[in-house]
Amino acid sequence: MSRFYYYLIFLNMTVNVVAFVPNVLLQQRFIGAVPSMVIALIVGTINAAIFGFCINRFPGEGLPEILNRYVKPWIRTLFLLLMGVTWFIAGIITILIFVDVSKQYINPEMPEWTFLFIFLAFVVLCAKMPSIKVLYLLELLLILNLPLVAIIFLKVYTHPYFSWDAVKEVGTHALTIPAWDSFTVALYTFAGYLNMVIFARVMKDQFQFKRGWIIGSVAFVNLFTTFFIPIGLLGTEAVGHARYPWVMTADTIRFDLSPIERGIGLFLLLYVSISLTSALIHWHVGLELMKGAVNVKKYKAKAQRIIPWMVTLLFCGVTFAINELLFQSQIRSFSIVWYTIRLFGEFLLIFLLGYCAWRRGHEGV
Amino acid sequence: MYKSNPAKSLLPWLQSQLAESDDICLQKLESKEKKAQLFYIKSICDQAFIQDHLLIPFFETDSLHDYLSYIDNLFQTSSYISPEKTLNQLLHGSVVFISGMNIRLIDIRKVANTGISEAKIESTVQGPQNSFSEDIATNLNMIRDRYYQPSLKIENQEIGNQAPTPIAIIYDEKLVDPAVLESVNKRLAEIQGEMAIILSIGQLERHLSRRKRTMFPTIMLTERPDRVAYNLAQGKIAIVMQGNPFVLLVPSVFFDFMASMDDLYHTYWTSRFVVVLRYLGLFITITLPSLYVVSTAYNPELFRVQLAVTIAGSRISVPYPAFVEVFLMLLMMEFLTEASLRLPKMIGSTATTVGGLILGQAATEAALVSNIMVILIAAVAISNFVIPINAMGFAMRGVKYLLLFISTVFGMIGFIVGLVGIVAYLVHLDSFGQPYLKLFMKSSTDQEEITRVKEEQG
Repeated sequence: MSRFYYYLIFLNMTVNVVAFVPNVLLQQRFIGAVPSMVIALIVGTINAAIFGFCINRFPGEGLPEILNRYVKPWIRTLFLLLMGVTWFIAGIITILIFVDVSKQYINPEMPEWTFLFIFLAFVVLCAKMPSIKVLYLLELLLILNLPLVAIIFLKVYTHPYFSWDAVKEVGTHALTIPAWDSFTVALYTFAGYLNMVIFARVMKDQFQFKRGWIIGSVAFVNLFTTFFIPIGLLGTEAVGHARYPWVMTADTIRFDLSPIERGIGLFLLLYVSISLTSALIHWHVGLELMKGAVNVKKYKAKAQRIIPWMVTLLFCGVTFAINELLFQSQIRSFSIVWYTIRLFGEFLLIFLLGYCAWRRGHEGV
Repeated sequence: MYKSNPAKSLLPWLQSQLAESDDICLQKLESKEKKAQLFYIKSICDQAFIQDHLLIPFFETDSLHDYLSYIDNLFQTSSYISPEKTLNQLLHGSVVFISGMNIRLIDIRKVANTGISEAKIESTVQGPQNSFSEDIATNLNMIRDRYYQPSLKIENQEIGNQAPTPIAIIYDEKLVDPAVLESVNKRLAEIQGEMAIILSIGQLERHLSRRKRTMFPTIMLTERPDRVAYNLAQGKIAIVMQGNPFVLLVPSVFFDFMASMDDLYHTYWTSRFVVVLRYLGLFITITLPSLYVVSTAYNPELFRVQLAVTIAGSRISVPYPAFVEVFLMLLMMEFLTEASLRLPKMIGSTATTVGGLILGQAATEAALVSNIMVILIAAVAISNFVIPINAMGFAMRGVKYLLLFISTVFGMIGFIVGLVGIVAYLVHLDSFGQPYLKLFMKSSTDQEEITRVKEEQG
């Protein structure tokens, strides 16, 4: 499959470094995080492969078109609506987390709604672009940010105070019973491939199984870095107390000769654009799924223009409401619940897609 | 009404249409049994041609029949179609030849400004030095002379329904994207219906691009024949217009505006280096003012302590917030640029001296702006001119105010979101169906791929 497939997966892995993923994993570092990650690594790679195998059967088509042919209309509408909401919530969680990070680490004096306003303005305006343009934007931003990612990776792995003993210490808990929360969040880091339900419409090539190892190995490096680097730099005990372990980890980096001395500056600059892109992708997919659910092409041209605005503005309202009503700790619990729901959604989606692919195979097309 | 006897009524009709101008000339010829009339506008016709190729043969040939067959064999001659067409051709420098029932139109247009001058706007160091002239025929000649391809196709058209101006659409038939060609032709036909007169190719450019209000140029204007040839070889379409030393190139994408022809003429690493410099310049000119505001007013801790303290120390006597300081200085810089554009060359140096002295020395000594601010403004102004195509340079001049505004209101976050937003806006633009900004441009378009895959699957 074309390069965009890997971009989508890579984006979802990187963006979760600041989300609650490391937080949840590190809280369970002695009670099952490590085996959960191993299981997630296997399950995630297999899921991605099955998904790729199924979607290969429908070149140039997205989930709404596929379901349209093989599933009863009410199931299709219900399923697409639920999936759309799930995707929108994924974007909302990313935005809310980054509002919190911005408030805590970048501009503490600014009211939260200003951050929300500017993030949402960007995401809403960009989510309505055509899918192929969204992919171009993703590619451009990822490649522009690549040097920053490389610098941060290099810096943390060559950090003079990095303690491999701490890593080994946590590594000894590899044979505990896996923990459910850790499994769900670790699996979520793979979920980038699910965006293909919409982007398959504009992809060129077929998914190639011989390149599946790329996903597996990148995921391994990502999970390893996400989990063990904070442990090595902050210590086995202290790391459990941080809400955003990776922001604190980035703050341990110091550039001796650069005008920007603290690594946290670079890290946050990088992650504003990464999180925005991720939220934008999720909202774009959510919006397209919703459009598929209500069969937007049936409506008049004017309605076709208004519906996306209505949907996105509705979810803007939801975002503001969640931000107002919930405390940060509640948002954390909310997202942990959501990770679980999403996990079932993922399996359901793969199941449905497999069913469609099976039907198509039987039609002999 | 003219159809019955066009030759008789044509002349009075033409005279009634034309204002009584002194350069309109009606010449009656009579020799032996031959009688004829020449009607033309002196100021745009080649008088020597009339003398050598119309008058002398008239008196040398024996019969009217011989003379007419001589005229018909001149390659400039066309036959009569309608009075309106005749009037139009007359205005474009044709002689109307009337003899009895016979009407001929002979194009003997004389163009004064065919001179080819050196490229002034897109100059190169090692490339060809000449630019286009203001004459369409000369320009077509220059393009043909750089692009020797049998598949090169030139289509002549006219634009503007009241006073039509000749234009030519040029493309390589083998390489051109038919979809783009079709949309250009469609758009030209629409303009033909809407516009009474089009004077300059810049005006044509504005009407060609579908968006009414846009910041970034999506069609390139160039004065360099080598750039046109290079772009024709890439399958683009060039539009030449009479009376304009510029040629339009469609579709044009972001990277075209960041490329200089010199990139092709230098050694590989030299040109790579220059390209990197150019993008660095672009980045600096857009971001530096906003970064200054952000790092003084919002996040001084971003920079290392020494640097932050130096900036703060330099601002110690400045009586207003950073964004006012930046905005004032930027404004002065824009005035200076704008003024030196308009000033006659003789007094041009005054502006720079006065501006440089006042802005640089006096403003800092009066403690109205900080020293670092002056350096920064100079860097912004200079790096803006690193962008090789002026249209893009002007666009970027505006963009930096947008970014400055967002950064002033929202701080560091605003700065990043604004920067990403600009990239997103560029990605979202189209130039005649081509994506304006995407990486790895060379690969075939994705829609093509999809249709290919579908075809393979049957």
